Amino acid sequence: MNTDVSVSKIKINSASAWWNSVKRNWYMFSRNKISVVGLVGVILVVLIAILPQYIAPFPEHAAAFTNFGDANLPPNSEYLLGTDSTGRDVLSRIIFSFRGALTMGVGVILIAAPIGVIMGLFAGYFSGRFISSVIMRIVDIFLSLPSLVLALAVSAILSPTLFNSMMAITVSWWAWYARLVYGTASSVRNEYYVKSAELLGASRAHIIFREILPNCWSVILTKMTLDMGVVILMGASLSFVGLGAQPPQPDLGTMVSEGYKLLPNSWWLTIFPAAAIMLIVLSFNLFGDGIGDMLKTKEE
Amino acid sequence: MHGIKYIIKRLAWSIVVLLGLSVLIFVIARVIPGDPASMALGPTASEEAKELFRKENNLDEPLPVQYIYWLGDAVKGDFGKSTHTKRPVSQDIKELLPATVELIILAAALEIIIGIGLGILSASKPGGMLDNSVRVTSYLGIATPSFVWGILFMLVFSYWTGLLPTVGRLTRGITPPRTITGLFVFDGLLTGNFEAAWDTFKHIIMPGTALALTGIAQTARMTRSSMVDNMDKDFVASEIASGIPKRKVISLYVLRPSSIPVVSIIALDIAAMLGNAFMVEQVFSYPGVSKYCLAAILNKDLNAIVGVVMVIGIAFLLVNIFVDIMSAFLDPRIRLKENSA
Amino acid sequence: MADVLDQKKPILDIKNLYINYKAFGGLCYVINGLSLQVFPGEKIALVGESGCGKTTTVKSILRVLPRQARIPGGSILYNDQDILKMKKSQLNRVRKRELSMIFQDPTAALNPVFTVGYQLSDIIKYAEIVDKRDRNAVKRKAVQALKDCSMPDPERIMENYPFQLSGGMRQRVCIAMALATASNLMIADEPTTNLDVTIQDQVLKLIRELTEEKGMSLILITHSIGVARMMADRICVMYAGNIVENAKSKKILENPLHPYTIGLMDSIPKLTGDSIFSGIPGTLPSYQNPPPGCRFSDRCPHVHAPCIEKYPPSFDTGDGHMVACYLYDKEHLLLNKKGNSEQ
Repeated sequence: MNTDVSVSKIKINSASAWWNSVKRNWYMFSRNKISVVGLVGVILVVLIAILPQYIAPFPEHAAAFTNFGDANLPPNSEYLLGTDSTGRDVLSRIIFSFRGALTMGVGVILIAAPIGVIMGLFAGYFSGRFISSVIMRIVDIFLSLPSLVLALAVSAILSPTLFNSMMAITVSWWAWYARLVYGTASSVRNEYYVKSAELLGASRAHIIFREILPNCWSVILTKMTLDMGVVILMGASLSFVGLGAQPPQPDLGTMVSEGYKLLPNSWWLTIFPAAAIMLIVLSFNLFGDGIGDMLKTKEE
Repeated sequence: MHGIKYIIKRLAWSIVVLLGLSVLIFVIARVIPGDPASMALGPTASEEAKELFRKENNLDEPLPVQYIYWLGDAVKGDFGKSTHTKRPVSQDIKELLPATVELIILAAALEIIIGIGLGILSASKPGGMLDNSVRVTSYLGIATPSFVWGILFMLVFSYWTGLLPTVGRLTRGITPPRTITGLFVFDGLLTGNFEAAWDTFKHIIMPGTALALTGIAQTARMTRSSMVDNMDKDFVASEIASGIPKRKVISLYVLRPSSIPVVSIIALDIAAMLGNAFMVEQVFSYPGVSKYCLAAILNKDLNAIVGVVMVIGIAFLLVNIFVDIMSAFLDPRIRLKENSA
Repeated sequence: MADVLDQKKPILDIKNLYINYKAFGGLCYVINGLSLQVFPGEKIALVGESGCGKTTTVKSILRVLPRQARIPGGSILYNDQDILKMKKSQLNRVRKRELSMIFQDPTAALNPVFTVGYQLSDIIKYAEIVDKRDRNAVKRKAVQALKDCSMPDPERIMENYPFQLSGGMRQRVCIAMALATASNLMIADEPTTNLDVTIQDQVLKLIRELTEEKGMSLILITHSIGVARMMADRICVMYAGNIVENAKSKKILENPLHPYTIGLMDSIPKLTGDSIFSGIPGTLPSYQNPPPGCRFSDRCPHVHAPCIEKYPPSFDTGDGHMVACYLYDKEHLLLNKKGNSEQ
């Protein structure tokens, strides 16, 4: 058998195989209409976050801008969602705040997930040994408080900024990934294919990253997509109590909090930012659910 | 007996974790920039007053020593004095905890009854109208933070319709009932003070529901999916083929194995409420321990922060142990795996 | 195995049954006009490869098909009443007292969080064999049922959970549960596939004894022709949602007529002679786009024009030996064109 020909055949096949698997994944994902709605929502949110200046009708209102003549106007034809107490357009500010919300979600997950996954992999690989117990006890400590409370406490030390509240949530969030991966890794660790790899002399790194990790991918990915919504919610909660982005930076939680103080007047200052939070989180949740279902059916 | 040994082991571990938590929080609290003395006494205090304050609070000692002092006091229940209420932290906590607990009890009851109820109803006719509407609304429920619900309720039920009071726990002028449990609704009913009981209820219904809504949505979804997964299993077909009526199969034979993951979620959610209640307590100015915790954090009141965090941590750990016990109770495989044939 | 009475009326008469499943890309047209008769006291074996629809067929008899299943046509007559049209109360009565089913995987068929005794007692209570308020009578009956299934120490078994029992014991519990609710017909869906080889024989013998004792009919699903021969008077061969051949066991083994059956028999490794297995090239057709004619046509060595157009009816080749194949359509005398693949 001519191995060269078969190798090049394999190469061509894998390119088209990759495209086929993309098509297959899309087919499975799109079966559930709700997930597609989520995907559309996510795309919209990302677009708004990346290019707010082209979408907002009054981009300059996103910073410190005053126009007291137009202050506190209810929704009308010029200012679609009304204006706040310094005359800034609510719609524009909401559009500009998407970026902060998304940064919060992406930032937390991109930092917490790798740390948590690596810790979980280590603890899983060494499961049964002392080092593993130590790691998991540390994880337990970080999970012994509700994440929001721990994030609150950590934010208290740091001065309130978007970045700091992101760090605060990350402090407790990595532990969820560690625990999740530890569960999968420690059960996979004793499977035959891992043991045989060890017998063949594979290095530790190979075993951890090439044998154990691939089995954890689907739970990790599912959690990552579901986490976006949760983390954005937490970020909004933190800024609602004043621990997130500070004025004049536009932030959804802060806007709700400012509007709340003026209740029952100027209801548009609370309702619209709140609705924006809901829509962003909803989109990510629907999308995340779809990804989770797709990964689950793939396994079956 | 296997069960008791397990509980003791868990408790012992929990104490270790609690100690770890206390170290973590202590370090966090002490790392706060700024001079605790000036923050406590105010910027106009004299240098001697600050020096005295530092001595009293062992602030000149190295960190580990400070921790030992704190630990010694803490196990006696003394968390020091709050710098923003000027009262012992333990007293503050003791006074404010029952209010939050009452709120949580209401939220928990709503979550269990409505959440599980909707989940069962959804699951008994998957794809039906009720099922689809529950699924859609639960997405909304999960996507909305509790403070938004709180504000919505406030707008609709207080400002626009005037049905319910806006803030606080009791309307001014109504005497609180004699303290038996600290829970006004219960105490009021027990002592015949129906006015206070009803008034308190009117005050807690909105924050309680706002707190519970996310949990209701999650519980309903989890219950539904767990039950639907189980309904596809062979043992259900076997039971139906044996002539057991479908209603009994669902309400007993499907519900029990399905409830195992649901109980975990509900219990953890309830435990998290202790901390997460701060949002609704803030919106409704409800005098509970969560709002106190938030104020402590915003005021950088170290003693209060540490004290409240420890209390929340203990509650959370107790609930975790409870979840383990309940899981073992509901699932004999966990309970008896040691003795299986 | 004695020749069974076949002059009476069938106790179960499935007529032209169609069953679809809702699936990813559309509908799966699984059961395709299936007809089957079972007479009182008769033991039949339903034989076929995985995926041919055996379980779907029998689950429809007790109406425990999964949610995605639809029955667009056909009837299942039990004692002259159509099960598919029965009201819930009547259906439950039939399930409680007259029909029962043993599932393939005993571990999955028992509720994992209830004791064996609880499940068995509950079924006995509903079957109303004894006064359900008399707990002792129910318990005694349950213990007796377990004893009838050769269970050692039945009282202790009652307190156990399914995961604490071995596979063979779990299946005996399922048999006990089935016996308590059946007086006329028992369906056993591959009852020994998931058991150790050493236990298989015991369980099969148990099923045969118990059904013979009570004069019950038995539908046994198996993919092993050997088991079919041992247990059944009559063998029905199923392929892709239809019964393609139906005859007395001895006849079908000595003289298989349908090309699929012939292929099956050839696939059985013989102890004498060649070690080359013939096998049947190809696989089951797609249920979502099934061929309009005979579903075996794409694998059949004797396929010709009428096979592809319309599904063949069952032809009687004598002595109750039914074959659903145009080769045996006497009107068109295709027998001559067949060739020599027999014997």
